[in-house]
Amino acid sequence: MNYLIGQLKEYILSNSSNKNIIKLRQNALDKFLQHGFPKSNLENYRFTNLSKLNKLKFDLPKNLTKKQASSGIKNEYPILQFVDGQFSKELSSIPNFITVENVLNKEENFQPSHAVKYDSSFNPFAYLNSAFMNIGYCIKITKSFDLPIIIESKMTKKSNNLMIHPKFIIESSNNVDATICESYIGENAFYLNNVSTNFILGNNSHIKHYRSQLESDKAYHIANSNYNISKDASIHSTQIVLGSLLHRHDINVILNGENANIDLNGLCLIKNSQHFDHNIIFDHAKEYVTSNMLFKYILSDKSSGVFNGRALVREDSQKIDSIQTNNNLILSDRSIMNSNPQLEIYADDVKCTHGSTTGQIDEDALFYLRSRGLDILAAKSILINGFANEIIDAMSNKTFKLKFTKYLQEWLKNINNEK
Amino acid sequence: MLEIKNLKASIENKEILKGINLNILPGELHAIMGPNGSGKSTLAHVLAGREIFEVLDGKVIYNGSDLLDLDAEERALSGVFMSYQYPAVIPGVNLAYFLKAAVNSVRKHRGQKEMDSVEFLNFIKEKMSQVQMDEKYLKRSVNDGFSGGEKKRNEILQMLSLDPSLAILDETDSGLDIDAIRIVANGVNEFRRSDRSVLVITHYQRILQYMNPDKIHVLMNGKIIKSGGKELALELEEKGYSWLEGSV
Repeated sequence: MNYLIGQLKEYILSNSSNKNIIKLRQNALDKFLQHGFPKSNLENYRFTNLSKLNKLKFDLPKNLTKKQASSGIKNEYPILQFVDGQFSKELSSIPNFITVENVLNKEENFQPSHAVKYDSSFNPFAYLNSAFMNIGYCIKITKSFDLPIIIESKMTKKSNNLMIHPKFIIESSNNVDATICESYIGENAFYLNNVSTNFILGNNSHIKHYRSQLESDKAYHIANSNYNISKDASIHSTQIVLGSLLHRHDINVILNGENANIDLNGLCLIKNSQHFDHNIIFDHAKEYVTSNMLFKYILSDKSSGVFNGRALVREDSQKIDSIQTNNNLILSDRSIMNSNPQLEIYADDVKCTHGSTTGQIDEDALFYLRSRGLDILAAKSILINGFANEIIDAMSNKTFKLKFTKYLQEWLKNINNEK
Repeated sequence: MLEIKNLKASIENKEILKGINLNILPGELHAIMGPNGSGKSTLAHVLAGREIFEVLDGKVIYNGSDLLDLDAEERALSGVFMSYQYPAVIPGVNLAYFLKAAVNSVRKHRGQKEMDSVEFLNFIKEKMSQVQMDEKYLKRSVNDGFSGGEKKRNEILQMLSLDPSLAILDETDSGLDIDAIRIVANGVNEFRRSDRSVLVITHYQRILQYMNPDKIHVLMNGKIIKSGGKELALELEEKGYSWLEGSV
């Protein structure tokens, strides 16, 4: 881990950013070093051993550009594009009504640790992200907008051995509706993407959020996403995870005003030796808030999955309505799933349900389809599609619905070909 | 059409079918009746190709070749259809998608052109009207939340759509009210043709009132112990199965 200290020194020296940021980086690294990479004796990391990151060494991207995304580029399609951990001005375009600030250049006191603020449990990767934050953008949306605003990180073959620590802050003003798409793509390379995404919604702001993770199959994708949802505001988020060797995503949601709502759906398609882990907390901090969490994992080969979902209802948060579901479909005898849905309720007048199922393909259903003339592969595909469709059918944006459907079909084709 | 010779089958090492003999000619409708646990459903599943049952002995000749050599999907493609007593529920898969995949799989096997969405919709709507099924079911998941009667109508719809030459109906009448039985029976009657055969497996003679069976067989303890004309069904209705027990 010593190399991290050295790297941060070097990084600060070669990128003489402002004092506030330097202080923030040093504090964050100190906090991180108190515990280091989490070992599997920690409850939240029981099934995902990340201490092996100790033995790996990653480099920060060299030749960091200090280019700032400038507002006002005339293009209808808002996109922030990053290639190998660097902002690409050529590939990005930002319309006037969105303000994009590079927080690394920000002079005033910047407090990026939303990740840590709402999470009672220690998240070392959030600190690591703040320490090394090599990308830091704050997107302020002040006007409702139909087209999706896209944040895309692409890692090319040249990104071997890189580590990147992007931090995104998305702030919507009161009464603003928008669609945000976070997309992570990687070519065949070994790297670490430790990303932090922070949503802060104004009152009565309604955000649709699509997140797709298609990193390189050799890569580590470690993420923390934080949603702060104000009064009458809502987030509808659909996430699909296919890439990386190891995916760990901590999602912290605080429903911070009356009638705040979150619908969070996730579809994990896991194959080979991949390991995907979600650790999710919904903090129902105010009365009359509603939440719905649905995560589905499909596991093949020697893959493994972890789902830790926790719904917390505070003492004064009466009349809340919360549903938490985790359903898993296991396609191979060698795959493993650990599911742990939890309720932590301190209020007495609430409606909370949670449930988890893990099973194999229904033999009766499979035979039913075969006895109608469909061969085993076709019948299995139909059943797997049926399992995944609950997530995809619920997507309201047609473009992303098609995209996610395509990812699912390609994944199915791949696992069938590999058999 | 179908000739069963000394068929013996077991599940989990327990012998259920103990030597079945049956011969159904093209155009005929046979009924197999019997008390619970006599092996009726086992016979249907063995004919459909369910692997959990082990065939111990015997032959099943269907249109000249041995049916037991074929996988379940090959049997379906070659024209054997089974209507289930408890059809599977398949959440997330809408009925239209499933029916289109099945119909096209059969058409492809027969060297016919596969139907596109428009052709299929016209085709299936007509079949649905035959079993008095509302078109709205096409958008619903297969059998998900269907009532008992709806599930059975859906089975008959599939029979009419897949155009098989041998239909095996396993307790299609169980749990249905009289109107639903009539709809199901009408579907079967419309299906009957000189080149198609039907095997109706049932506990009660009710559904047979609306059909015109050529032969009735009584299955007890894994064997057919009595065969006769349709009057046998009425006799069973009157006397129950117990008077035959001595003949096992």
